[in-house]
Amino acid sequence: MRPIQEVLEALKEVPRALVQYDGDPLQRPTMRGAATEESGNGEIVIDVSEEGDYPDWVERETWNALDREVFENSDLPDAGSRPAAIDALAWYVSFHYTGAPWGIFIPVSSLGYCENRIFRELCAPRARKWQLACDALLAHEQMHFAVDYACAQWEVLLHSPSWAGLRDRRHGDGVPYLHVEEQLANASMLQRAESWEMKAFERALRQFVAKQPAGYRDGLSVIDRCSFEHVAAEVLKTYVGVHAVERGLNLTASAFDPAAFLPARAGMAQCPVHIIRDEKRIGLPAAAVRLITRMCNIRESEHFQRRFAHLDCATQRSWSAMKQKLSAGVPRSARLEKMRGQPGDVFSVRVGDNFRVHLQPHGSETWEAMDIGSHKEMGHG
Amino acid sequence: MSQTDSQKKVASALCRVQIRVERWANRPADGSGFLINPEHLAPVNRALDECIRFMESRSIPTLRQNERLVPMTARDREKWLFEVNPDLSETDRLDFVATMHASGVGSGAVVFHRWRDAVIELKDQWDTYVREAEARLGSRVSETDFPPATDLRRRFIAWGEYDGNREIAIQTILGPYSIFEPPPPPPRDPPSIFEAISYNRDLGELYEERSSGRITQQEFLGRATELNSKYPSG
Repeated sequence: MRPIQEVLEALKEVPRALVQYDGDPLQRPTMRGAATEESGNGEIVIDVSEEGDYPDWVERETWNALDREVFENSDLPDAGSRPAAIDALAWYVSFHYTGAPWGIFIPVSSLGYCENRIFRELCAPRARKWQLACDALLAHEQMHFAVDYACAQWEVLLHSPSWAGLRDRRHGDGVPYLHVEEQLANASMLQRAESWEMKAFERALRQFVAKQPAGYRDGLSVIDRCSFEHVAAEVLKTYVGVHAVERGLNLTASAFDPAAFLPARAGMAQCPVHIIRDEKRIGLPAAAVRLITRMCNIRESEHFQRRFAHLDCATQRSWSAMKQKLSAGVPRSARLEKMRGQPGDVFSVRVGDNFRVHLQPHGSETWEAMDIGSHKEMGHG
Repeated sequence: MSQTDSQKKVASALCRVQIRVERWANRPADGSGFLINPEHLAPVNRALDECIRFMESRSIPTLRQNERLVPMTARDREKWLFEVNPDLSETDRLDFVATMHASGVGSGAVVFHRWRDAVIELKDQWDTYVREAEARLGSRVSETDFPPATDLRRRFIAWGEYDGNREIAIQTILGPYSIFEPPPPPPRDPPSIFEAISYNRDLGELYEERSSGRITQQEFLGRATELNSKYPSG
């Protein structure tokens, strides 16, 4: 697939394909409040303080309010303009909109909500619950981006404003969201949860999905590959089918798969992610939450350099390449994680197949590589 | 892009179909328990689900539940979707499936054949299942619409139905998003320097009239609105 920036440029040439955005993407559409924002394109690694409980008022003012957003919104009379279910916790703003930043928006408060509502009964550190919550929300929203991306490819091909056309028909018919698209997005999220290989978390997420409105909860039934692909094709046909027929193309031929345009996971990483720093909504100081999206300014300690000098050339090259990648955004292959049970903040990065580097943050910008060695030497078993 | 009328007609021909499924409730009137073991129905339901999925894969979803659009160009190859309609007798429906299988038209025939086999197998066992239910539930069985074996297929059938108008113009669905609609007008040019000067002059005069009391506040607002519409970008 072509890079998203090229697709965006090409979309400008399709009449009526772009639509003016009339909301504030940094705000939950139904919960107003001050918000700031960071963004990045790589993995997001979350480090949150394990100390202390949330203040009493958070239950009433944030968790309960979000419960209503997540589970009740679809029944409201003006549901057409409101998010529902998981899209109240994180949301995707299409690049088809002009006049607003596009991408995935995740408030920090939503991660706290997931910890307290989805993973509450599970015995695990808060940081792990937040990390998995972030991963789940991202997986759901990334599927919306994937559909948007694939749809845009079709629009460029057909020179037809498929996305805006469906949006208009949906609004005209008072349909708040596409059931099949939410089904697909939730199925994608549950597929991601399977890859965690943590059954208790996966089960908790499934229970959460089962309580969501129609469409969203149906994601449970299409996690297997065959059903998933069928629903993906359905979604794409919903967006572009009529436009394709208008151009004389038959999307219903059995040998043709309209969902083949869906990007793979690497393609999804092109979607910008905006983390909304609304910690105060859940009574946490800003310093309690650290979001690592890139690691610039990595300096190497003397101990590190001595150990590094004894390594083979391939591993040395891997570390150089990894440093470069980390400065642009944390790649998935880095498997960045915080080391538990160590004094101070120590983070681990995977280098090559068998090596780990331990790093310590110095302030918000600088990192120090303290040690390098095999998994076993570095205490990873 | 220019399109001839005939091109428009070919491109815009769509049919609307409604995929309906009738499933037998398999419960006594009081809703307690099952009449027959659901496991006996499972093969039919599985095959039926497969049929529905196949039909859906050959059509375009719309925003209404169970309603699909099918390109007219696909009609010749997807006759099963249209010819299995409620006007046909039950025997005809099954015969149609059998015919499709015999002629080996595409993978659809294989899918429908699975459904047909599952129904025939259920039919062969039906009397046994009825006796089993009567032994278990007694008179409650006769109070239900427990179907006879000969009437069984009708309880599971799925079919496509013609829309009343048969053909639907794509332009009516897509409206201004159709490729046959003229492109949106280009954005208005920014006001010229002369327009801006005129606007400021007229606005200044209006304020003077109001401050000298020659016009009321209501008149002022009305004329200001008029002025703004005359110079929309002013």
